[in-house]
Amino acid sequence: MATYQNSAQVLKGLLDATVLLTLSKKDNYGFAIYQEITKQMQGDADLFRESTLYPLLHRLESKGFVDHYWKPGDRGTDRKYYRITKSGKTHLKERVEDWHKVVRVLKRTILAEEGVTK
Amino acid sequence: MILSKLTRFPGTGIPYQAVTGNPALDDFLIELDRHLLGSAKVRMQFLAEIKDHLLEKKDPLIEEGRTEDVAMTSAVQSMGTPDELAKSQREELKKKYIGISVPSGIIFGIFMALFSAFTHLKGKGLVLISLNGLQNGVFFGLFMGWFMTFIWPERQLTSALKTYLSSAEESEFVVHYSKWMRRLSYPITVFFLLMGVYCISFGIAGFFYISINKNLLFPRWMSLVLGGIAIIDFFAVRLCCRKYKVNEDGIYVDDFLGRKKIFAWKNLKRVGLLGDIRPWILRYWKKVKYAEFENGNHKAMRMLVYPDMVNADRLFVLLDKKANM
Repeated sequence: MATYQNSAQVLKGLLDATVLLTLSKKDNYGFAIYQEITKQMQGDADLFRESTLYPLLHRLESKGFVDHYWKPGDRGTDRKYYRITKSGKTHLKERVEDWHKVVRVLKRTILAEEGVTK
Repeated sequence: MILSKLTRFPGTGIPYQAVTGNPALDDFLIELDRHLLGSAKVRMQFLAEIKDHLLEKKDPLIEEGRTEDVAMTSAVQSMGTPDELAKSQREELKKKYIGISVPSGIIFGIFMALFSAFTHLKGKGLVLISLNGLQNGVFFGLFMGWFMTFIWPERQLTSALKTYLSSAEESEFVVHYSKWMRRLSYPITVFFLLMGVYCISFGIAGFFYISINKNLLFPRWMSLVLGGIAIIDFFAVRLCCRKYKVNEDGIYVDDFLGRKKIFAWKNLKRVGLLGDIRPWILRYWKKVKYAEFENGNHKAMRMLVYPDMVNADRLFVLLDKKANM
């Protein structure tokens, strides 16, 4: 449980960028975004819970990084589609740069010493 | 209980459109609805999104060989608790309420206090009447915050800076605004609206020498000034509430009363320079002029573009390309 919570904390910041990256490819609706992300995460998909997706999308929307529109879905009812905004694209670019930095630092520090901790 | 009714108006029950007939899904949606705030329409949109997700999730589980009820129960369980899901929506609305009511209440309160002080001719109780004006303004602001957050948010009355253009065929023509402009949009429009209401009521009362407040007396010419300010205010609010959409047929305009109008590309002609930017009301708006010619009737349409719209130039290019010139 503790391991899950620790991983979730680390992933929280990553998920913002992951959702924005998914939407930067094309406009999409909640379930399809979830599927796309779990597919990308492969074996670690269980770390991304469905209950976190919608609060995350709504938070991104309130920050102006995404907006939405309604379009008829396969079932005939309207479906909510999200799309990335210009400020969302800028934010994504900044986050990706941040993550590159994190990876570089990790490689030079913790991951470089991996053999010692094993 | 009273607070619940105030923040879930109209109606405190689940909107009937959300009911699916599946017991597991309906129970979940009913429970989720209990944790949501806002009008029936706002809650309905939230529930519709979650319902769509769960129905999509259910289908592959059925294909795996589970019964519909088992598949739906499993899908619902994977969604987490209703409280967890609704928490962000509640926080968002609370933030919105504060964002509207506090700045507009303070701005209008100061306006009313100054106005009260200015129109106070008796020379007594100046501080008291100013404080009274300030207090009234703050209450007006709090009321409008509640009204526009929990009662009428879906009408987007304060869409001054949310005015957008969207196009199914060319999605890049969505209007983008900067962060500070989006944040300011609500207080600005609420301020215009409140000032208009205030000016009209006091203007009429003053004109007929009706005393709304025994300490407030002002000359008749002041009524005319207030009437003029009110007209400008309502004109501004009306403009702020317009929404524009563009698709292959033409420009769709929705005004704040919900009236829809289409200016078809084939009937649309341009007047003057497209994207003509004129200084108007402190350079707040850029003005784009069009005219519609249909059956010999000349109808002018004015499209206003806000200066903070970062992709205005691209909009002009689109309109230039589309309009029949």
